[in-house]
Amino acid sequence: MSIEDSQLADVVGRELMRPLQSMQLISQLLVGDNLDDDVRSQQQAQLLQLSQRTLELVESLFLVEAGPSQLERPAATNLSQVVSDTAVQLQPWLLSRQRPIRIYNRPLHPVYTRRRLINQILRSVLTASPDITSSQPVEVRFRDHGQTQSVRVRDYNSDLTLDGWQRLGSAQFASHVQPLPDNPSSSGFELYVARQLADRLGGQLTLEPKQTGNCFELRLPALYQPRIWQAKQW
Amino acid sequence: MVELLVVEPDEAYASALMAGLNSVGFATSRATDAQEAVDHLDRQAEIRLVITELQLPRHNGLALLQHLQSYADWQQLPVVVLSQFKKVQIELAPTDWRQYGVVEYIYKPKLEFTRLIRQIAELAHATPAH
Repeated sequence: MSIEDSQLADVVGRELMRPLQSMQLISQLLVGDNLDDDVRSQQQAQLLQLSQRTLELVESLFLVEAGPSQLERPAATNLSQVVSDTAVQLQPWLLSRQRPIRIYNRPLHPVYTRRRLINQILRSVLTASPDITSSQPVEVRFRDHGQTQSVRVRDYNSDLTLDGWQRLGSAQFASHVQPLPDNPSSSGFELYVARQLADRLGGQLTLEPKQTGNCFELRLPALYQPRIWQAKQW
Repeated sequence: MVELLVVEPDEAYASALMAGLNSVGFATSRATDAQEAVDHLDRQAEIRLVITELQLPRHNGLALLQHLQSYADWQQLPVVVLSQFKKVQIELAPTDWRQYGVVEYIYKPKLEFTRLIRQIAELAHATPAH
């Protein structure tokens, strides 16, 4: 990981503080007996979502630093299937924030890659927007460029500027206080980690600013056979 | 029913806080930033107290407090700051907090919800609608 060591504790601390504060508050509410049954159930579901999302962030940190033997073995992976599965996993979170996803599927050859890392990158990108709802769904499209395949995530609610994105890719990103203007309590660390994971896959996560919102593109090498993948590792 | 305005950009935190406040009989409305907060106060004259985070999108919470103090109608409106910043991290003298209408400052990780309820009940009942 390339964040300067002195900044790492600050960034991770800030990033974990936010969900932990919510979890602490919800726990206090659940201990009391004032909530009616519906609200209690909603808050229990929220607590579960927050704890899962926090654990995923911690797990993705481990993935950045994990050696090849600690990672899952690469396998034939259909990108559109990974996107669909990720969207299903994220559904409770996205529904609670009224953020639908529209997936424009198209036939793609399976590529030889690490599915779990892609899943983690997509989770970070699909939830990168602030908690301010937009009437426009997040749109996901696929492209086959021959040597590479890409997943494009068009988010009309994202407020990340190109400058903020460039800073997120730098070792000093933690000194940039608010890379996401509409989401001031986030350091953008999750997106920083997503970029690192894309690098680990031999691919790239880029940002294309639009007049309204942004388009994230995850581009992966289209390696169709295990032997080619192994050769690329050298 | 006493009406409170919660100014909190974080969806999960706002939803939990409002659920807790509603469960003990307060009515709540929510703003995600300073501009929305001002709009709510403009529309809802019955709001008796504001609970706000300081780290808000675009204009920060201090800018909101300054703005409220610049209008006679809102100068008496008590404000509880519920923030992820410690008070010592904000370079503001104790007298400035009072001038901004801040009657209580709570660092989020140290929040005791039942205590907050008692404080809000006392403050809100002592404050007429603006």
